[in-house]
Amino acid sequence: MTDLTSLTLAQALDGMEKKQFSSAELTDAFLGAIEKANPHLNAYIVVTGDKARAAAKASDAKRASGKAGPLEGAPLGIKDLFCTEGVRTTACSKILGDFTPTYESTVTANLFADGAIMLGKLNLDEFAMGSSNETSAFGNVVNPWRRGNEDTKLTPGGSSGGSAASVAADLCLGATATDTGGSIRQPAAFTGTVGIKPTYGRCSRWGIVAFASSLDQAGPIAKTVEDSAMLLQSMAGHDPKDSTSLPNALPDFRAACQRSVKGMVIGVPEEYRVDGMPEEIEKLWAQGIEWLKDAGCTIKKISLKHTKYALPAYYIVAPAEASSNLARYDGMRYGARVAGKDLAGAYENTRASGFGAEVQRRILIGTYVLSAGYYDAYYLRAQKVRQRIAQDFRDAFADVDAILTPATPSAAFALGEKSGDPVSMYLNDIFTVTANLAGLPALALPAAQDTNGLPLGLQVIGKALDEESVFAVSAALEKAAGFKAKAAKWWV
Amino acid sequence: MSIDEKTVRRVAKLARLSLPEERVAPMAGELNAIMAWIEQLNEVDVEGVEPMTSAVEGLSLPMREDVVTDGETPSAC
Repeated sequence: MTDLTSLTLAQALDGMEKKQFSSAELTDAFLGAIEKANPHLNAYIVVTGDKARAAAKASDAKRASGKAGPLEGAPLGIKDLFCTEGVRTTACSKILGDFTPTYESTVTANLFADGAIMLGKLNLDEFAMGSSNETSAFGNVVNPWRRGNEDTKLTPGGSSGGSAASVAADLCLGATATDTGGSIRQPAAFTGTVGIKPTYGRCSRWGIVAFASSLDQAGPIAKTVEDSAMLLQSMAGHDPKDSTSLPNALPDFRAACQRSVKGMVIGVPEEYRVDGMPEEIEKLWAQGIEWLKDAGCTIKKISLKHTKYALPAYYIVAPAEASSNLARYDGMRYGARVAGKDLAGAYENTRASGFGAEVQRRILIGTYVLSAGYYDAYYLRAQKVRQRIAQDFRDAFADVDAILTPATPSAAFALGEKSGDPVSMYLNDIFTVTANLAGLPALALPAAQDTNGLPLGLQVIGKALDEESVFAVSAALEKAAGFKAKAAKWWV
Repeated sequence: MSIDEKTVRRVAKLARLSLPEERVAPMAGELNAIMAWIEQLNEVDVEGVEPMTSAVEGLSLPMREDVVTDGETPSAC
């Protein structure tokens, strides 16, 4: 029998339906793989083996009685930003301590209702603030990919580094992730996996630890475009418990992957060509354009002229919202409490010891830009610039059906390479952050390898609520690219 | 606008974060580096532009029926 862990989600569900193997066998295979790989990769911070085995057994019984759900028996990894009933949820911050939710997030509840099984909780940057997974209180994740034969440890990207690394290393069939400025798509691009951030409001934020509420969206990281469509189908949907959740009906995302792209108009924005971008990424982008032309698309140059202001605007809006969201961590309800001379002193000491350096920096920036005298100059101006960016997209989408860009300005970099310079770290998200500000669906998929053998990704951005076009174009690119490379399993 | 040490102390107080004295000067430096990069937003013409407060367009905050519920019980929402 082939290694069960190397199957795609679609193949694994098919194999279980044909009784070639059971969910119990599949789950055991993944738990075995995690045991070998995790000491090297640090992708999982909690492995819920017993729960997973029990769920798999129940799932096999459900399938045998003809009641299989769409994801019946599929073992998944869950980013530790999603509250999971009875399983510790930390957002990889010390300040949450051993917080164990008594409720399940809507997204994970949707997945489990469809038959999915949780293998464990995945590592991330603290409160999802980071682009390299180095801000996690549980230590960084290591990218399963290496530069040729070198043993330099590379970042899997962030914040969903555990999600991306576990999918790339065959430690789950797919994983949940979240994306506030690129936290699904940048790690997907760094690890040769597929990640989609849907339209803002498609997935309920209920039960997801909040970072920046007007930007946060959940989405899957998966092995193929089709797998990501199947996972999103289950994760998304209207939820009355999230007032920004969209009431719109869900289209059939998997079917959209089969749709022809002939006659579609694809926009290529001039402004996504940045200084210092490796030639290989330019080449990949040009190659992507050729692939879509060959598939019958028309290419149109477009201008998204406020692109360069997206990151600075984001670094006002996101920290402002974060400073407000994180005000709830006061040591009274979560984690370790550090005493002080009075109540305010206890708050101050608790927060100073519970939050890591990057989170503290962002709380201070957020507090500063919202403080009296600076609100108009910074926060209000950033919200207006955000409107300009959204308007650029609205104008462009009058003429095009989808937009093609590179996913990241570089391949995965070494751990420690950028951790001393916040601004150079922030620049990682230069191509992804615009879709968050405008609330648009965007997918990153692997399309080529650089000279060191590292994966490089393309990004497809769609109109609001038009994930179908994103899936159709991405599936066409996936087919043309034929990206089959996998990270060598050097940890075995 | 540059952030001096006094401002760092004031903002840390507002954010309820105790900042050890030896961290104040380095933090001012870190914040200034980030804010200097953010200053480029001043190049954008935002005259007459409505601030964007939500990524969801054309949807007003949903209202629930004005009936008695179990309040905080999530399953009863």
